Amino acid sequence: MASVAPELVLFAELVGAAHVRAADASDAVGGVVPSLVVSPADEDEVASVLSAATARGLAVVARGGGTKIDWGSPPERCDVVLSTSRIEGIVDHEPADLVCVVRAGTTLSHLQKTLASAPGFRQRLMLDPPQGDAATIGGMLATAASGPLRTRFGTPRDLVIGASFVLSDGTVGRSGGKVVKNVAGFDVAKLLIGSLGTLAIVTEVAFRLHPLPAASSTVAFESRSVLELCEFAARVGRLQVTPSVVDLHWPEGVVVVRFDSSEQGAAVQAERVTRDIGGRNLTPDDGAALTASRAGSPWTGAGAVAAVATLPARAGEFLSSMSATCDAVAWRPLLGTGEMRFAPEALETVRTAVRTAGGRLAIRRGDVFVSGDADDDVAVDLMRSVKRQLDPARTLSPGRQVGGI
Amino acid sequence: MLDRAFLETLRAIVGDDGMITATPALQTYACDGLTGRRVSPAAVVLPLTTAEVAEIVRACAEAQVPFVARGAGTGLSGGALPVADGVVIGLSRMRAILDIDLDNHQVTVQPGVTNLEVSKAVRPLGYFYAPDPSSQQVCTIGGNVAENSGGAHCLKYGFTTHHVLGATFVTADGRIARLGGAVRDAAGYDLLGMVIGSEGTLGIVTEVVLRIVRVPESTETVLAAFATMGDAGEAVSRIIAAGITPAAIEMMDRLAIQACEEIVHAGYPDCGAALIVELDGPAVESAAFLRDVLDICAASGATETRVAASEAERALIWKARKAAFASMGRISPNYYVQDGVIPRTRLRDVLEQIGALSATYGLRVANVFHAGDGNLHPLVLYDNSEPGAGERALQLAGLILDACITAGGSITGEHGVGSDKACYMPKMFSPGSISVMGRVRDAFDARDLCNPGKALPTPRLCGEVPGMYRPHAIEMSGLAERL
Ligand SMILES: Cc1cc2nc3c(=O)[nH]c(=O)nc-3n(C[C@H](O)[C@H](O)[C@H](O)COP(=O)(O)OP(=O)(O)OC[C@H]3O[C@@H](n4cnc5c(N)ncnc54)[C@H](O)[C@@H]3O)c2cc1C
Repeated sequence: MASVAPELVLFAELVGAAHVRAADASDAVGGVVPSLVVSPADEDEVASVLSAATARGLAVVARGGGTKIDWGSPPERCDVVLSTSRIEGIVDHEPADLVCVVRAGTTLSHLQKTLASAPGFRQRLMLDPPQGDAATIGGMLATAASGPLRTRFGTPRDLVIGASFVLSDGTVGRSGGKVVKNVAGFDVAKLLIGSLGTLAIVTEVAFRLHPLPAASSTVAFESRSVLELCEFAARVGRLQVTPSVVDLHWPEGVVVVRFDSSEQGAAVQAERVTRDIGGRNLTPDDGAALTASRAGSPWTGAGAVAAVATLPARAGEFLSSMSATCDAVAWRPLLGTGEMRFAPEALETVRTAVRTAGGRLAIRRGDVFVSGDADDDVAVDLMRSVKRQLDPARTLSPGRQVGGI
Repeated sequence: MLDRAFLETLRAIVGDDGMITATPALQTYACDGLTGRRVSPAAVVLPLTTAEVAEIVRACAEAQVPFVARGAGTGLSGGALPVADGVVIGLSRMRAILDIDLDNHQVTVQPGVTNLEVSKAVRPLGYFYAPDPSSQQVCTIGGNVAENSGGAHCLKYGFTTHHVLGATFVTADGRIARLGGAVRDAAGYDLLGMVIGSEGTLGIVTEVVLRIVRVPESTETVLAAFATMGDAGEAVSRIIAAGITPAAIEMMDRLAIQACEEIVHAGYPDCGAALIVELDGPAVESAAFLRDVLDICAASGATETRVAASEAERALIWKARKAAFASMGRISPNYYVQDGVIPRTRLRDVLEQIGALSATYGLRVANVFHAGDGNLHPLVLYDNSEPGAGERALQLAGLILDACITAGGSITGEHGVGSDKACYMPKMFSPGSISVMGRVRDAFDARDLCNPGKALPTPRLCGEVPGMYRPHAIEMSGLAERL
């Protein structure tokens, strides 16, 4: 951007002078420093900010809590950071319907607290992405971020039942609704979840909620052999039990299996695991302590972090080959997905191993960020076509998606 | 009429036995389960492979001929309604189960495989495919993907979109793409998620990777009788509020029970409303929840509760429920199946409105539905030989949708928009929202050849329909547009 002043005045007119400021190095996105940070108050202001930016050829990157702002390839250009911090609050919570509607800039922790305190009900949104406390709903959607609960409840795509959004030309749209079952209209939210902010700015989201369990039981299985850990997890997957969490942690050498259910239901399932295949039943305190101690893994500690996926059945071999290379691994064996931390120099080794295992890799933290490799040219072509239709001027986070989209 | 050279191109791809152009045979393909709308296509082709589908689509794209994919034709929204002078691509001959991979809990199938065949194939191994539409003996996985089909057990297990890992997809210009896949977290946009539920308007699915689920250790099924639908609805709300997630909660009213009893003789009690609640999981857990559910039913005024004591008893309870649509023929010459959704807490209120509408129109309405997720299926009964009855039934069915929208629900929970409800879309979505959906469609099929006129309203389509289909000005202005 040539000069900041005229644009600052322009956006100040749209959102108020108090909500526009010159950007500094701390606002950088994937190393690209923007000129301005603009904080619109609502959907209408988002629409006017985006229309104005598009008319002037400015690139806009949306930012929520900033916890995953570097996920995705670095943007080609970034003139304006659009902060969603003011688009905040819970619009609707119908505890008896197990649904809520929340604005995109609301933090996940605020949402969870509000949901948990509804009188007469105990429920929550079953998503627990990394750095979840400061994460906003919008950022969690854009990155499709999930955590240990994914094994049972899936990712944002599985729990979002509706979304409102604004396109770069200022068009305001919505898909879905606020009922759990609904097939009316195209589910446009599916495209936005994991889009890394390249298609639209999400302003409001409706979620399906789940009751909080009455009780939890945790089983831990320890081994110094990754193969043994994977085999244990696979056997859990073949039992007639429904764990919420099955996570493998390396180098700790432990598989954590957690059951959330009725008091009896949780205990019985945990016993089934220890009786039939092994591991030990933890006391509730020990279970909670183990979960807490592993919660930040593999993000705590220096180094690059990659998200990796393989076929579940190939993970044992793959993770074994990585056990010396990686400093920390948090893996969901039943899904074949996980995150691993390693020294930046090891990137090529990791990349080669992932490729050999027929897996996928996205780099979430490090010297370079990569949103992943596209494995099908026709699919990427369709993605480009979607981008052309929804953001033809390439205003939104240009270059952050696969194939430079 | 399609020109002869084009038809010969198709014939060269699928051979004589894969091609239908004779008028009587074409009639078979003129409608889906929404039998009131019929259009004969110019030709039907029955490919055997992904490559053949791609070649057919390329030929259509080149000649600018519209094409419509078709599975078993059980859709209830006219999704597979042909285009006159267009081609129907029937996937019914692509019905191989290509791979069963227990290590990775997945199955790969061709799109013409029926829903039930998948579960049958993996059941002996201790697994099942969770989405279970009532039409599961006949409907195809391709159709399920296109409609994002649900079923009674989706309350706990989720819909088709939660169970599809990947697909081979023929684009609207005849290229072959792989979307998603057995390895999770494909990079880029979730095109697979976009295609699921898009009603065959974005391209054709020719291979699908499905997630299969371990059969639960135990299942408990309760049949509870109530004096009124309101009482039964109260029981549903209390079960959900108690933090129980049953595998299924289904409800039927007196008329639906009577009709089902005529053909299935399941011995349902004579009552104002019957509730089927199914609980599954580890034996102690489902037994514990069963006790809770029985208590809740009693507290909500149940006049009788029965717990299925054997697999046969359970099967009989479900047989009656799943026969609900088919049984309407016993009590009425004609019926229209509506499909709407409401927040489950509004059940009592909306059912009362339906009752009042039924009285006003002098038409009986039978109710059978997925109560756990608020998905209503009012069956509007009428006699076509009565002048104007069909039209009145459609009007009544339309007003039920209005009630669903006003209650904060949706115009369809599982049967899709198709050609039936395209013109209702503006009641639920603003012009801006619909324009974005249209742009997504354009991204996949700029020439509008792939199942045109379905799912989204078009001026041509919605200008033609009678007044009752038109959105009221108040809804167009956005008053009904609240998330
Ligand atoms: C008695 C009865 C009960 C029913 N119960 C339920 C129920 O409980 N839950 C529920 O969800 N539905 C139900 N349905 C509706 C219907 O069975 C489902 O929508 C089903 O998924 C349709 O499958 P089909 O193979 O018959 O598809 P069709 O009717 O042939 O086609 C449906 C749509 O899918 C498209 N399509 C078909 N194959 C493909 C493909 N390979 N690629 C791309 N697009 C394709 C078609 O173009 C069309 O738009 C019921 C229907 C009946 C008649």
